[in-house]
Amino acid sequence: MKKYLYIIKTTFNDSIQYISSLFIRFIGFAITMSILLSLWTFIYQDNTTISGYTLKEMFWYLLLTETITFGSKSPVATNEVKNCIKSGNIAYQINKPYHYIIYSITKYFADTLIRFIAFTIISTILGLIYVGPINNISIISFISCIPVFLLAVLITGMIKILISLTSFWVEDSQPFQMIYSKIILIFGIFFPIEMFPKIIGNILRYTPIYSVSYGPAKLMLSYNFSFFLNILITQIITIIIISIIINIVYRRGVRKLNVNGG
Amino acid sequence: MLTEVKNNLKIMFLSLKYNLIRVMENRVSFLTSVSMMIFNNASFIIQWLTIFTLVEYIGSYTLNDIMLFWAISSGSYGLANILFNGANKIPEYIENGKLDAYLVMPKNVLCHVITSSTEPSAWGDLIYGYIALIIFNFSIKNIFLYSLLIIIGALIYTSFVIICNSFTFYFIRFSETSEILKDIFINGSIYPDVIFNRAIKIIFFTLIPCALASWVPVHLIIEFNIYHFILLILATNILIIIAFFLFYQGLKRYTSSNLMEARS
Repeated sequence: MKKYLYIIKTTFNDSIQYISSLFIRFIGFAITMSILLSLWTFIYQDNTTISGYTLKEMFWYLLLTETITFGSKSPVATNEVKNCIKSGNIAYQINKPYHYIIYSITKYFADTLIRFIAFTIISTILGLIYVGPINNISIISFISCIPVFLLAVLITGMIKILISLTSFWVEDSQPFQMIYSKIILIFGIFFPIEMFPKIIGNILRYTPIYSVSYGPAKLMLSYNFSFFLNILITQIITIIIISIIINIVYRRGVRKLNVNGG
Repeated sequence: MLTEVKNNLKIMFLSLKYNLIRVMENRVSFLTSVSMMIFNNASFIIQWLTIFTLVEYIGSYTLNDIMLFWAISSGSYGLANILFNGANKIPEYIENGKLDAYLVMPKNVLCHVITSSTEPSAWGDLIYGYIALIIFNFSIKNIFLYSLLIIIGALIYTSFVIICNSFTFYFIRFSETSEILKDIFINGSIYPDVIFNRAIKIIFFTLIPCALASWVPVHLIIEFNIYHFILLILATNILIIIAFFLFYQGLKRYTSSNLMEARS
């Protein structure tokens, strides 16, 4: 356990060195959000609520889901794992005194943490400027949402690592990462589940989208304890399921590994 | 002068031909990139289908009209990156001193640079543009007009990219800002004009001219207006001239890295 804490510490310190490069991304994020606000303001012209959401709630929903997405954009879970497998470097990694997957997850989490905190701050500022504070938010609900958002970031990373592990079999896992990001964008970020037809909405409730996108954002918008427990339990179950799948895929991949010396 | 133009065009076509041969060498990778890009763009149909279940119109636009914005933007962007992807690499060339290889050749430097590379996935954008047009707004007239307008759109986009990237001659690490400006251009062109306020519209017609590459062509396809078409061509020419001017002004500040390397 100590070694993984050390990985978190060193990666976190490393990420802090590059925090200035995030500022330029904030501008892009702010502009993307203002374009989406323009779109939703126009859609809400003739309506006060759509599928139970006011314009303010809708914009905060977008901000919160985008925060998880932008905040968890760490190359550790995507390019680093993919390149490690493709280059054969994984042969060295699996001989080290740690489990490669746990190492990747802890490194991803540490790398993404500073990014996530920075995007949370910028999202809050944007939300307050554009539409004002979330209605009925309290300190308790805000603090309760923190573990849910952190678990959402963790699950996002685990899914990305799982996709990267396909590099054991395919030339490039990048197209699969792209498909995943589009699915999240359309079904998890742009619209809350209630805005889809009932059948699609019901299906989405049983997918990771519920844990990584809809659930955390909805909890922040309308907090209640039973919903908090519901999301938390769903996230823990999702983590267990993905861990099992990662373990199976990783074991099979390593068994298939054939590295030429040099 | 005419011979010089002819020679430069010949060089550009040869460059494009060899770029294409190069990307076709790995067909599986090429086809994967293309199909992924088509999937990427097509996913946004779901976004708009969902929006149109919530509201009947966006301004006066129907789903078919909105898909025209996508078709035009995707087609223009695709064509620009197939033909002139080198424009995206200007910052890399400047920062790493790679322009040397182009400066020693007796050809137009900018034309040579912008045609030096192609983006395989851009074929997906171009193909998607035509698919979207055929599904949502098919007519022979539209296909002809669309083909013409995406060429204009590609020239506007490329000129904008050259203008942005030419600032790398003056400012260190301007490439990141340039990427953001390109993102704004693309984001502005895929959304309909009616959702933006007047201030943003002015910006999108002038500083970040995505309105010229997308909104105006969409309106021309919906209802052709010769006056607007001529103005669009004039604006495109002005942008091209500005792009050439800024690039060559910046080039005077370029210092060689004495880097010895062969061009791939």
